[in-house]
Amino acid sequence: MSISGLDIGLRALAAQQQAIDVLNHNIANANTPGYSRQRIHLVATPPNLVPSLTQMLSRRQVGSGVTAESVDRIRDRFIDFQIQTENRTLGEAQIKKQVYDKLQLVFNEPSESGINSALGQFWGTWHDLSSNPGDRSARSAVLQQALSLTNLINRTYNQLTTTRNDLAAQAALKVADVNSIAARLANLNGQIQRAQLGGAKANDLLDRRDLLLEELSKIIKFNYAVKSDDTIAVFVDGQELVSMTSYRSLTSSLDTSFVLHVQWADNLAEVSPGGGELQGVVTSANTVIASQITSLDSLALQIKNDVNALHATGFDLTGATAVNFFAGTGARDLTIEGAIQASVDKIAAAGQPSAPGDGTVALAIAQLQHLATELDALSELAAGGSLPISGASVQRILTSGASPTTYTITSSGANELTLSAVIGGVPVSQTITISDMAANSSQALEFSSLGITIDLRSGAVAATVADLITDLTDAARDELIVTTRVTVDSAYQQHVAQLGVEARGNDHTVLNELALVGSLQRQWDSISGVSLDEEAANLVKYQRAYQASARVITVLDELLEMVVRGLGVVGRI
Amino acid sequence: MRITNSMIVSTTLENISANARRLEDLQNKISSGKRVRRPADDPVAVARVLGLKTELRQIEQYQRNIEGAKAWLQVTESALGGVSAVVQRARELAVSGATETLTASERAAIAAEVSQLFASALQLGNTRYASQYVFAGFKISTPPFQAAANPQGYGYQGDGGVIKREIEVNATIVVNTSGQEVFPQVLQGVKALLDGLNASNTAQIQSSIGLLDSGLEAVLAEEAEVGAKVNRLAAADERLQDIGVNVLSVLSSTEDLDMAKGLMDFSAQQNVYQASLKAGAYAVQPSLLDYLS
Repeated sequence: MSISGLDIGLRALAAQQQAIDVLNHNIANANTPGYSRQRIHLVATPPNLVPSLTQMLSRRQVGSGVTAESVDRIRDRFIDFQIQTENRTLGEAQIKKQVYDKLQLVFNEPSESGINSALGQFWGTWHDLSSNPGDRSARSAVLQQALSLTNLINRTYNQLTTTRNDLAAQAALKVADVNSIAARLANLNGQIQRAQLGGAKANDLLDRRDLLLEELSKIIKFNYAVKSDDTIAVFVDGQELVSMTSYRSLTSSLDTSFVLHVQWADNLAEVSPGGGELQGVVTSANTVIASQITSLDSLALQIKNDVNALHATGFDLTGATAVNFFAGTGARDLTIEGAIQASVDKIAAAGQPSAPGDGTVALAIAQLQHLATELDALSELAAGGSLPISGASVQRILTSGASPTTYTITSSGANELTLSAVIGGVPVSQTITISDMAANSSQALEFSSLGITIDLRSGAVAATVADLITDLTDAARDELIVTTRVTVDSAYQQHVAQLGVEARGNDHTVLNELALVGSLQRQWDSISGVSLDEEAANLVKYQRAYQASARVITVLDELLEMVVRGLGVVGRI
Repeated sequence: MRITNSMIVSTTLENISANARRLEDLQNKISSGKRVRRPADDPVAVARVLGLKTELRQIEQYQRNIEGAKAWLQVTESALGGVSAVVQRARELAVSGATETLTASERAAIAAEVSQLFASALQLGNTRYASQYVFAGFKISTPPFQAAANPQGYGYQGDGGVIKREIEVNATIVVNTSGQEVFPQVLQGVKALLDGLNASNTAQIQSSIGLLDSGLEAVLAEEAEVGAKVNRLAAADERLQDIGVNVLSVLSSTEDLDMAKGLMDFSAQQNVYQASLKAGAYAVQPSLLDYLS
């Protein structure tokens, strides 16, 4: 026994005290976001070597106590990575949900104040006009209802562009967030490097950095690499965002064609966010809203062209003809011709001049509601069976998006035709049989599973099946852009349904991701979170150990006292 | 697996919030009465709802068209009834006027009445419905028949326009009888009779009977056709009524919330919500620290 016993005691007291300090720190930070619990790492100190009195070369190893070697944070890198991945998807889906919710409010269907209802009332006024072509109030009703419809379409268009501009503003905010996080990461890199110079882990700084990375993961996709000195380099779209204490900034802009771009601030090179809220914003602006605007434009143009085509063949009350009803270039500026707004007499309801009771053109316009517009790309078979299919004769293209679908016609049998296409990523095809055509006859090739009908009309000469197949499958013309018979009303209804499908899918994604992220967070908590019960139990453990060590020191003290006071005083009274 | 306090809290919160979300959704459905309020709720149903609403509006429009057409046809029918009365009276007069033994004054008296009948027929030809001349073809704003000092005794300023109304999808009906269809024969017969009486030409009077007969036949045939059209319209109206009721019921079953089910779901969901609140309260409270002295 020696004074070194006191050392062991002292070391023990210090170690238990440090352990309790760590517990204290954990309990204090039980609710700190991103805080991972820390554990003291107690290690027995190297033993003292005491020479043996009985043997020559052996020595006894006597323990020398305990020391706190390190304080470690308990963290699972893999869970962090998974949380970042799912956060990214969640962020993107949440932004898109906001946009889809807005879009559904903009279109406001089903309701009595949406475009569907306005269209129905519009066609109704033409019916009333055809029954009373001379009646000024019926004409006024046509004009007013038409203005109602065009105003609604204009307003919807404006709301779409406003939403797009709002997204541009949101992109700027998100980009500012990224820049702020990048700045803080760079700063932390420096702090961590300095703090760890002594060799100990800067646990709390590392926690803060991991929290920033989690925040960043919601906004944009990134990769990162941890260096040997615990500093990190963060990469976005393959380029360095943060490297040691320096960082680059992002910026966003809306170009003249209203396409939203995310770019590096220093050289304006394009950045593809790859995921997260920024990607959600970019996709919403450049794909979702862009395609809504395209669809609205084509709806406006279909209404304008279909009505104008018929209206121009009609005669108004003054006997004039070849007058248009609608004017404008698209959904933004669709309106009624000024001449008609000035005088409703100019609405051409009649099929001939000076016939005030004639409402045939008005009736024809009213019937556009259920009569699909005549295909303009009718293929005529002239003598000898030549088939002039040309792009110029096609007026409307089957779309459910920005790009047209192309179809291929092939023949597999003596009188069979196969039409194939890739629709929505899925290849579809249908084979039908065709028959001979007499002169001046027509034949409709119905490809119902593709939703296509091709009308063939023969000219002065009959055409056999062989002629038809030769011409339709001509290698020089084997790509055919076709139009479909679809009324304005049903085109709009399909469009609304499509919007609903996309929105619903995205809603499900949001709910699923929320549940997934929640579950991952709980897993993280299970590993790195502070459990007050656990800390309380450990507190008892270390407290008792401290008390025991203190007791040992007291015992040693008494023993030493005996030595100090009692040894060598024989004979002293 | 380690369970920490924050895990318990987070699970509790997540469940409470999910239940609250479902509760809010049900509340919205009940207060609006609609099962589908926006396209994402049920895209297929919404497309169908839009289509059904359009169809309902169309049906109402067709019923309105039918009303207008019926009124026009009924006016036509009663005018034609008047014309057939005119022709029949003229025929009686023709028969009595063909008698050789009439005196000049008697013949003159008959001629005066026939002249009135002629004017009557012209007036009937100028029948109006809601300020439109029904027998004028397309020229509905000017009276089609004008008395004139020409061989026929009148001029026709209308045309042969055919006025169509749509009463159902792709089904149109012709509502008018133009003045060129029945009146020329009738007026020819009456004028021939008048001329014959004025000229005391018995042979002419005799031949006018034949003309009047064919005129009457034409009028009766036209009357029958108009009557048939009115019947057709009544049948179409009834059919549209039935279709309208069906469409409305399909629309309601697609769009509207089953109130009984909705309220039951809401009450059940309320219980679930309250249970999750209670469970949460109990789970979050105690910890070891409460028990250590």
